[in-house]
Amino acid sequence: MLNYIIKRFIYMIPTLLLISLVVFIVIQLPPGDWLTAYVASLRESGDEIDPITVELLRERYGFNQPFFTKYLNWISGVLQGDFGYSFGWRKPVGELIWDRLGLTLVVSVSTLLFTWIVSFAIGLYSATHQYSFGDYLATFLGFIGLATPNFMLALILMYLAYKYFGLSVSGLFSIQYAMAPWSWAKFVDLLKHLWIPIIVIGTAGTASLIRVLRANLLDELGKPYVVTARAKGLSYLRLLFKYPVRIALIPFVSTVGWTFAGLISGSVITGIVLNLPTTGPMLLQALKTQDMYLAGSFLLFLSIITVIGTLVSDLLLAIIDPRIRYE
Amino acid sequence: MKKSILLLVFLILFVGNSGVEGAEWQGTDIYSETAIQYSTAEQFEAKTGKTIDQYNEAPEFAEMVKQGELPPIEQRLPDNPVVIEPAENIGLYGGTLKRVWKGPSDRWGVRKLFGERFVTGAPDRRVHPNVAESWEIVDQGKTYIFHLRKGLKWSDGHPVTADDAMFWWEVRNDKELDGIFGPPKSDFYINDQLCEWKKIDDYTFSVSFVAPHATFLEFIASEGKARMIMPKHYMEKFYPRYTPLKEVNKIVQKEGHDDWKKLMEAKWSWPDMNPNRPTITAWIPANEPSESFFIMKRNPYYWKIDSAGNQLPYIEKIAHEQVTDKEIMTMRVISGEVDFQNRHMSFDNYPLYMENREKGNYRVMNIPDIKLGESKTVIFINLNIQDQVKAEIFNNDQFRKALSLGINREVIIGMFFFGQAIPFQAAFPAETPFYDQEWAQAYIDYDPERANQMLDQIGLKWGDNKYRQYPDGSTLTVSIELTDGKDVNIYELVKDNWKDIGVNLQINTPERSLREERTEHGNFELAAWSFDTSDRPDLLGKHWSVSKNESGVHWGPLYNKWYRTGGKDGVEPPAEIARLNQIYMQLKSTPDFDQRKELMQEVIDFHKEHIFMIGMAGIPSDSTNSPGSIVIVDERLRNVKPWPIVGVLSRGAGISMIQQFYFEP
Repeated sequence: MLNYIIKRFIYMIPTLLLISLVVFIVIQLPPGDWLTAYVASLRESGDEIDPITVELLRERYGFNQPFFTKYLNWISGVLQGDFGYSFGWRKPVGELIWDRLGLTLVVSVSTLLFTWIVSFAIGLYSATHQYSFGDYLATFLGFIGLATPNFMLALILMYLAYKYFGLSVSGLFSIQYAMAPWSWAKFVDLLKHLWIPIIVIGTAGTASLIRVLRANLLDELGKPYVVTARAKGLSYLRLLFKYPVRIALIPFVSTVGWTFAGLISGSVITGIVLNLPTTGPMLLQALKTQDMYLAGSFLLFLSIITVIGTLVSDLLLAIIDPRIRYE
Repeated sequence: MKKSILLLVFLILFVGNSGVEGAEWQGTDIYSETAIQYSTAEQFEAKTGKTIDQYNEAPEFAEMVKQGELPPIEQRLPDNPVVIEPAENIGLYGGTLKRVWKGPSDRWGVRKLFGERFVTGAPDRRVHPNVAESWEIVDQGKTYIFHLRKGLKWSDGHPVTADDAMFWWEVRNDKELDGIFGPPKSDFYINDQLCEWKKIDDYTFSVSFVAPHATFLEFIASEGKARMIMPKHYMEKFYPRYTPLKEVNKIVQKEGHDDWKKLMEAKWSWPDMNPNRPTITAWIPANEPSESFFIMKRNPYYWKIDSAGNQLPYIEKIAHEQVTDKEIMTMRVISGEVDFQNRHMSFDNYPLYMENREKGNYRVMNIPDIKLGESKTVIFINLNIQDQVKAEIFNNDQFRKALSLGINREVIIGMFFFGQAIPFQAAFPAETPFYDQEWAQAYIDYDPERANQMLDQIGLKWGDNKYRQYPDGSTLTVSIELTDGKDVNIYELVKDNWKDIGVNLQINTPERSLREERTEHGNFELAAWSFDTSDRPDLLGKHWSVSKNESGVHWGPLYNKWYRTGGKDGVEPPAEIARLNQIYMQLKSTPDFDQRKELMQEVIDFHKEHIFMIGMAGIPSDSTNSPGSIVIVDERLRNVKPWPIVGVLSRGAGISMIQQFYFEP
């Protein structure tokens, strides 16, 4: 197994290098560069910048360099832990993303837990009570959750909160806690804000997992080994958890890989709508303003997480599903 | 504006005129209810008959003085503090003012709000003392002598002296630092000769030009053009000319920069890269600007007092919440979580803001704005279009005039500006001394018949498909570039209008940087923008010239490029357009206002005749309720008064002097 893991890690290196190259190409595909976007946005808000200054800046930031020089500079920096410089924030990329990655992980992990717990419970109930009122209700809500875009749900929740409580529920902290050091009160404040993004980002994922679990479980429940076990007098619950659920769980685990990346990048629009200090809004802004090193580093990170996530899910699968071999 | 209160007009016009020489000709008389700034207590006392006996300070500073952490107030204030007479009342100390911003890249918003200029503009469009206590203009306008405020201190308590000014100039002229600080802006040159700076004593320095420079004061009073001072005692630690390179490199290494130049830049960039750099603003950063709430706290060394001797500002903290999305900003406003906000508020949301003002406990001020809020309602016709067939037509005056006559402005104004604007050509607005009624009303009637006649005359025949044709037989299609698809509905109406004169308008909404790129290369047909020449079009060549100091001249992008590249690239302009640039250069060294007016009249006559830009709407000069710049003000916030129209010298929201705002408990 150790060999297998090492082998997988070695395979990762060329994959990631290739990804970084593609990412870097794609970021630079739009016309212009960060400076053009910057000048445009300045002009938009009525501010002016000297054309001479623009030229000097272009020179200094090295936008005139050929593509491969820029790429090599960046990637060799990345290998040494230097992710380059964000023009928009005027800070090294490294300093910027760690803060945000932390909060993003908080949001993502709690959302993932929420998704799993809710969908596991509902999926189990739906499958064991097929065609009951509860099943129909869960299915109905599930489909609505699946069909409603996250940001729409966020807007509706925000509207309701504003309409009935006069609050604009967004962000992760209230003003008095944002600056304070960590304390119990701050944690409670975080929880007060956290539930909305969790529900918003979680619903779509929950809905699909409910459907998957329900379908898989229904398949299993009709199989002869279940009937046999029942006939031999095994208690229903014990049987249920010992075999069918274990098999039905496989899709949960196999999605870990992309769920992680999806939770980080997929919450971009929700992050913006809810004004969360997470990576999503920063990534989008970086892409819009062609802040190439920031965007590139973000995308590279997401790729790393996806690749590692896939490995983790493969390993977990092997654990719960004895049919899988390391080959 | 309300001209009835003549006494106040009189008062304001004469505020701070110490040593103002040769610069007394600006602008129209504008009345403002905003706070008034007096350069010194002496002037305040002379003008109002009131006296200031003693200084008071905010409670937290009084406490710190008691603890021995701060020197007493008398030692923190300059010998002659600036006196601000509040707009309504003497205020109360305390409170946190909440606003929204887009994060560190939005730093201009902070600077516009309470950045301190070396000399400053005011609602009367004149230049007044600020950091400089007074100045003299000698040698027929060739030399400016500035007197700094004795005892004025940086936020770390170090005095501001002439050395700080000389240091600013030195850094700006250091070739090694080009692109970070230098080279000096074009206004420091006259006849291509750089000005000369001389330190006279610790609080006095002079700037000399080879020929008279008429608008030097206006230039330094304009937003962000020249701050003129840099904290030498702080910055010299990072500058190898003053500190051995070895020492500097130690800091470079410790803080992880590439070299000392990057270090200089990082140390100077305030507040985004270095919130700790000494400054002279009323509030100073209390945490990192990249946090979700960027908090700024009172500066103990702030050098302005109110008319009762209380050190300003009244408000203790300013909290800028980072909000990236405009709609969320709107949400923050209507739920009452914003106390004072001008930047990022849009006129389109006016009804929404008004509807929720009671629930959110705020009021809405609407400052008339030449730019009509954010709408881009001026059509620029690209004379440099590469397509030869089109170029010939676009360069025909009659064609452009016909396009102008073919727009039904009344309908557009009724639908998009709530009927509050008036039809207006792309001309200097009524608020400037250069208003020309003929230009403002040239070809603005809706007259499709006449337009059709004119188009017939230049030989644009009708085709079979209800549109006219270019001479080569192709359909007369013109495409317009909008930014981010914002004003599409306005141009849908124009499209309908132009259909009646046989012109097929296509609306393009390229992404911002793509658009910027196309502008740079002159690769577009029509562009929509605003004619934001501001209140003093004679100070900048914006939109009316193609001077090398401008960029994004949409009617002559390649003429502009020709000047910017020194003739290497672009298209050489014909003599009449080159003349506009000569006028721009001439204006710089023409102090006499009548002569300036004459020169500007030539500009006006030229544009009036050619109509390179087609305007749709403008603001009526006598209305306070025209489309404009929206300001959200919390109901508890006092001393906030509407200010006159947005302009170069009038500094937008900053002119309301946020330093003297206070919260009613």
